Amino acid sequence: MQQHESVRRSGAPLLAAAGLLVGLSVPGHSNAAGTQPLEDDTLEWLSNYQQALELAKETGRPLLVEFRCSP
Amino acid sequence: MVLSPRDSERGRLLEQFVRARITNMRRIDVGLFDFDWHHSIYFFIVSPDEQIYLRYGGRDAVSADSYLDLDSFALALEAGLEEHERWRAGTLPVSPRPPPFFAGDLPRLREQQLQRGRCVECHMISDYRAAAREREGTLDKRREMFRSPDIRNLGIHLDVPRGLAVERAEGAAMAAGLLPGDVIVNFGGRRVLTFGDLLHVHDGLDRTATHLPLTVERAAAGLVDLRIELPPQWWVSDITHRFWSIDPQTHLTTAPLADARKRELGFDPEGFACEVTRVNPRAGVLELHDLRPGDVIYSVDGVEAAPPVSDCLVHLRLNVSAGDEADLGVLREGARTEMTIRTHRQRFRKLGTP
Repeated sequence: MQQHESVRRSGAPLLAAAGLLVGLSVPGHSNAAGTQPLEDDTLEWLSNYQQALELAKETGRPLLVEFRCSP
Repeated sequence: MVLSPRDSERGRLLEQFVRARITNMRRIDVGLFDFDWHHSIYFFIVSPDEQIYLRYGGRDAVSADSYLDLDSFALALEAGLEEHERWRAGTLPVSPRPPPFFAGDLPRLREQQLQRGRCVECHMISDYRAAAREREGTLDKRREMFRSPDIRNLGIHLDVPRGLAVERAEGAAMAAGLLPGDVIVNFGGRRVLTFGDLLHVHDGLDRTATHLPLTVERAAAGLVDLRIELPPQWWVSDITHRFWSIDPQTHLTTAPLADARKRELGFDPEGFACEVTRVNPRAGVLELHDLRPGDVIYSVDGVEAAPPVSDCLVHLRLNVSAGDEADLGVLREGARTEMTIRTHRQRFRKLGTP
């Protein structure tokens, strides 16, 4: 089986920013309104796909869907 | 640093999208949102009528974020907005929607997770589906266990912050004429905007494919068509980061013998004889086998060659069901002998066996 070295990369890591690295937690949790209020300086994300799709239809905006392995 | 800061260039891009963060796949149409579910994070940009503009995601065995960073994420957001303008103008070709498929369509997942009120995580879809196909006898391990082959097997090394810009080429990609600075725009006959798009196409290739067309944008030359002759076993990648119940665990590390060494030992040069280089202590704990570093495995259940496979463990993983035994031909200290190996089937880390 071929073994490869790490991919050389100079950009800012995304997983750390997303709070998905060990030792980092994602701030905030889902609430009854179906949104995830993160830190004060972050944008809101909906946690219900159907709600998000309806909003995209109403507003005509594109939909960015993030699937992640932990809340 | 956060993913979606309000006052920043990235935040201003993100504000133009309706944003959804999904952690439970229970009600998601995974027929539409089909991806390699062993990724820690994966994005789709779609239209309000669920046309997929692009994907953003991808990893390798070394790290969950080898191909992710905030620069290429911003590039993907910009490309998604450009695609949306095309959709609004009616100039984006319409893709037929794949047949719907939901977690509940997998009977064991439905019984063991959904009916008990448990969260359905992305990787569960993958393993339950593969295990169901294994029971039905329709599992193609080359495609479904060795998912998302490493593009470095082809010699393609990307400059990750710049999306699909090539940092360097070697091996088959270099032989095809790929150059540093080229930007891949079409891969396997499909338009690609991100590494996620590229890896999705690569993952979907027939494992018997022998060549791969691609088009690059090259400075001062415009679009250039290339053809990569795929090397043998191009689809074999390190999958140790995946949690498969279908993968027969041996807790061995092996290295294929060089052709000259095979001849010297009297083995078929086309065979998959390989040397044991490491034995994980778990093999002893689980009482799987008695192999030692330095042993040469030259046959599995009487088979010594199965081109293009060049590694005995790859052959075993493809042909032995997890939990089953296999008879190995082993060369130890110059003498040929036979040994039985028992493989281990990993149980799901949550309750239930897929």
